[in-house]
Amino acid sequence: MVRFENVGMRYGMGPEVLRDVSFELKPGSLNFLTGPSGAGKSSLLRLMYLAHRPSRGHMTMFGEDVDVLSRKDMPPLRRRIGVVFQEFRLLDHLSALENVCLPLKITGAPEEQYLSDVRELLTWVGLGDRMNATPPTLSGGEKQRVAIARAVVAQPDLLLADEPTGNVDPEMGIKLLRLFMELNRIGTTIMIATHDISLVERTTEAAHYHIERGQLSIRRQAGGTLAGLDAGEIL
Amino acid sequence: MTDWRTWVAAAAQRLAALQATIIPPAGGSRWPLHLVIAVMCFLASVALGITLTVSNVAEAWSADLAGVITVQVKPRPDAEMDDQMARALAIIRASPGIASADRLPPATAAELLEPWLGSVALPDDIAVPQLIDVRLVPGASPDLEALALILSDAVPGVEVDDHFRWKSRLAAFASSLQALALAALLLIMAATVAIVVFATRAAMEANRQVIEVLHLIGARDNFIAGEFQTQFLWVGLRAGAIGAGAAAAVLLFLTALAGGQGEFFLPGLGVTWETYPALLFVPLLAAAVSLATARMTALSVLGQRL
Repeated sequence: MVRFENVGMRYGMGPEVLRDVSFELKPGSLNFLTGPSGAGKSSLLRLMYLAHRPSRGHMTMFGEDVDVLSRKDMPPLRRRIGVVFQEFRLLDHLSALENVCLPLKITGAPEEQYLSDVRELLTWVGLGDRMNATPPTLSGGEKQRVAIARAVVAQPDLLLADEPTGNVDPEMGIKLLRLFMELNRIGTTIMIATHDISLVERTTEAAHYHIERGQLSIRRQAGGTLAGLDAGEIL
Repeated sequence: MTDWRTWVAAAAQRLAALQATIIPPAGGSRWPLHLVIAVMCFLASVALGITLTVSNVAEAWSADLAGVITVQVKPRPDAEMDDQMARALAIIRASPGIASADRLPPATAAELLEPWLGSVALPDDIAVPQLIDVRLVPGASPDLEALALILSDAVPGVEVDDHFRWKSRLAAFASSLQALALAALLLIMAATVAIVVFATRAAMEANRQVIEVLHLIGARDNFIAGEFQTQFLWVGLRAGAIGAGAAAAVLLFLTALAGGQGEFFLPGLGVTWETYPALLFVPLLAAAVSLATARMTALSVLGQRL
């Protein structure tokens, strides 16, 4: 699904922030990416959600060679990726409902086709009574759940989450983790970047990647589920 | 009453839905943009109104002169004026393509000279040229040069004026004014394009984050450019309507003014009712120019991104 071979990345003419990164994400796998602040976690995710191109090496997404992909071929790939940004990146002038509708609206689908599904999803993440609220009036946890709902509403093949529990209290962090676990159970490949090592320690078999000064190491191979959590007990 | 209000509310809602975009319009820069485009549309409307008016007037004046020639019989010491006139009239009436030829009564000739010589009666011993008003058969194109030659041979001191020089000057004047107005329209359009390019770039810069989010969730450039083109389409329509409306008011005022003293010097000068519907073209053009410019600018800016 995602394959990196000796990938390097730099911003402009700056120093290399990722060096010789090689790994492969299997379909339906659950993966953690840890590392200290500034180690390159967000940069690696930026490559994966196609906001940046590698400056060297070889990278394929869903079997497509990203190095040679033209701009017009990017949107179909991006639609297969759901992203939960660290800083949420919700559109403040739109309601929670409109924010979550965005990935479907850009496909040109008529509103009546998806509106009830979106309402159902927002209810599922516990925001049934906050659908018409705009992001500035939502709490950190509520914004996080809107961001997650927006990331999963189009049923992406790959879900990337950058510090999804960084802005919420530990209890909400556990709830969000359960949500990711449920999504993984239905087949979504997930990569969660976090510096919260306790989150990773809750897993027994999920892959664990660690990044330090731009270099990636694999601490545990993929193919597991979260330990100590009941997948059926979502939120 | 309630039904009427409900209908208006529903219409307003539908209109708002048509104008709604995901990308918010850049708040602070909206009214100056409307003002500048409205001013451009005002100038364009005035230029268009003047062009159409000049065309109409020139056409009307030319039509008045078409099919009419004037023959001037100058007094000569060796010939009687009545004899000269009789011979000239006989030749003209016998020529093909002539509908009528009449001696202009001395009183009418005096009226024509009044603006230059005043209303004081001329002394009888001053010889004044006499005029023959000749009407051509509609659609006929008689050989006026041949007629002039025959007349000058038979009746010395005769001149034929087919008003060609006046008509050609009038046509040149109308063409010059139209070219000037067209140049003004083109310049105004170019300025509007530049303004919209600048405003689109500013709006895109102000919404950089929103555009990035849209890109990252898989929006195509066409979708994002569509957001900006919708915004600028409505700006063009609204500002265009304001500008054209103001221009229509000014043209009405000028017409009322020309209807007074202006008629004496330039008869027929005034904006006719047929001109006003043409002003509707201005907001539509402003909207089309704004839409196309915003779209091309947005696509060009987006094309520079990943």
